[in-house]
Amino acid sequence: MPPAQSAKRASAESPSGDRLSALPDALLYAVLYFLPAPQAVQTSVLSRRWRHLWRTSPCVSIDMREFGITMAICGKFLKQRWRKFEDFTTSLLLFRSSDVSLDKFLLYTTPSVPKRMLVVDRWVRRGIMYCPQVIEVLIPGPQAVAFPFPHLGASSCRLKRLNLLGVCLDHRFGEQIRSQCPVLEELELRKCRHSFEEITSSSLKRLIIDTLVNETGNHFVIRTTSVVYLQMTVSSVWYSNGISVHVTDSLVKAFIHLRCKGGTFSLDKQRSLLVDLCNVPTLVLRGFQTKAMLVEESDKFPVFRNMKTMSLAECFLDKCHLYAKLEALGSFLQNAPCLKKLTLLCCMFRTDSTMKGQILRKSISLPHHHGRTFQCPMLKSIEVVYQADLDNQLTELLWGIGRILPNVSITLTYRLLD
Amino acid sequence: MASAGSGDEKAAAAAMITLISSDNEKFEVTEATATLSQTIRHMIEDGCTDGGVPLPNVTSKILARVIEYCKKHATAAAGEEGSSSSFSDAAFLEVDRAFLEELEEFDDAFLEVDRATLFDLILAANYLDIKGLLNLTCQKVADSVKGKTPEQIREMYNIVNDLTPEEEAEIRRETQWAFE
Repeated sequence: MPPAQSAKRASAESPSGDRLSALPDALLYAVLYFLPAPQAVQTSVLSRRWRHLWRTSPCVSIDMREFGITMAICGKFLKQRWRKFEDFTTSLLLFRSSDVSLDKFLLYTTPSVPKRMLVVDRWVRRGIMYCPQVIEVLIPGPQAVAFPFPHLGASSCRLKRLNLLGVCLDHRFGEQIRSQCPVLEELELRKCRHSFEEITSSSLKRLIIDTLVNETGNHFVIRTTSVVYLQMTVSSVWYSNGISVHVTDSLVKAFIHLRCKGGTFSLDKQRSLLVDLCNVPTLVLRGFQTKAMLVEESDKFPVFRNMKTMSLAECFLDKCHLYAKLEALGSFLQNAPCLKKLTLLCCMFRTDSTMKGQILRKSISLPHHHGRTFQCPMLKSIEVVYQADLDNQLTELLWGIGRILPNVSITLTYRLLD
Repeated sequence: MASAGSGDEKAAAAAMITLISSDNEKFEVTEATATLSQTIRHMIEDGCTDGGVPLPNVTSKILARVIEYCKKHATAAAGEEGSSSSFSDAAFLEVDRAFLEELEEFDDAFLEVDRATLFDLILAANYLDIKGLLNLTCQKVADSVKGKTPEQIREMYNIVNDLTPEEEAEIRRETQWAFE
């Protein structure tokens, strides 16, 4: 007699019975998923009902932190704990039922020496063989240790979500995403090194690329016809030849962060990104410069016809006069006729922490005749978020916004952002 | 984001759905609330919700709680970017954090129920196919046994050990790599 039936009867007879074991397998798998992996295996001794459950669970989640391994430990402790972790993971992948394909394969580990890298490579290959719908391989730690992510092979046809941190992706990865992942909806790559030059997908809905290293240094292309959410954090050191983004009206929200460490993107690279994203309803920009956003009469800058919400974070921080920055902002807003809400986070002026408390400009003047005014008919409110002020620049900024956009109300909010 | 959510609710206000519990109590909910349940979403798509949706597996007591959950989470459905909070740019992503925190507090309070209710909620979430509620309740069960020995878990959940001592010893040998 199947154990599920006997368990069900037990709970029906007495309301205080074993309701946990009476749950259908799918729900017990859901409970096992939220347990640390070793404990999920330990449930096999609870009763006959539980004996083989873990083996057929559609999720494998392996995390070195459950074995007390963190970045901070080293030496003898690391060696001992790693041995246990390795023994466990290898056994788990060996003894789980090979007839059941995986929904999720999650791995969080830092192989600190090359020998361990080979072990992790075997685990990942084993995981991929189970054709998971979700693969998450997170290898945090110093970038010097690059883990080459193996090829997905035939298993990629079921793949819906791929989330990688700290791995190395060769030139064939882009081709796999393009032609072998027909149902891939979410791709998240963080702190990876890559030598492919293009991400092309007609199925992707959500794309996150965060602080990648472009090993070829060539122009990078994103071509995603169904993407709804796009998030990019890029540094000019690795993408100095620019990035093109080809998206459609499916895109609802885009977040673009140009990192300033080690140089900035050239103005035309910044502008071409803005042009690529001219149809997005919600846009968040971080690290853009004044001239990149200036729209002049002679420009062929497209109208941001769908834009409803825009947030600018740490933008307009280059060396320009405040009123030149405000003119650039005004001209951009005038080019976004449907914009309803604008947020400025730590924009327009830098606040150097070493200067704290030293006020150099004890008095400022707020001229009434400076600059032009701009029209942004739907824009009713601007929120200015600040962490710190320096030399009364905040007052000057608020005054300036009020002058160039006389019809909006301004909210000033103090918020710590880091 | 919150304002956009309430706007959607207004738009959907015209479309009300009647849910009928196993003990024949009727609940009127907006379509936005009801469609957190994939099961009901499919029924709406198939146009078979006229005259109410009978839910023979869910009592009025549990259905009331499930609706309470769906109402709160219906407005949140749009803001799912909040998931990767470890992301370095999280502070700049303009996710409505106050609302997410409020949601978390709501979930914590929502889970303050006795064990029988918790299991009823799991079964209802499964039947109605409400992924968020199912994860929430299953995680609650997992959290309750986390770090406990098999003996303690058996006692907590009245699990009858029907393994012979020999069998149990054998399983422990088979899986000793998980017990170290």
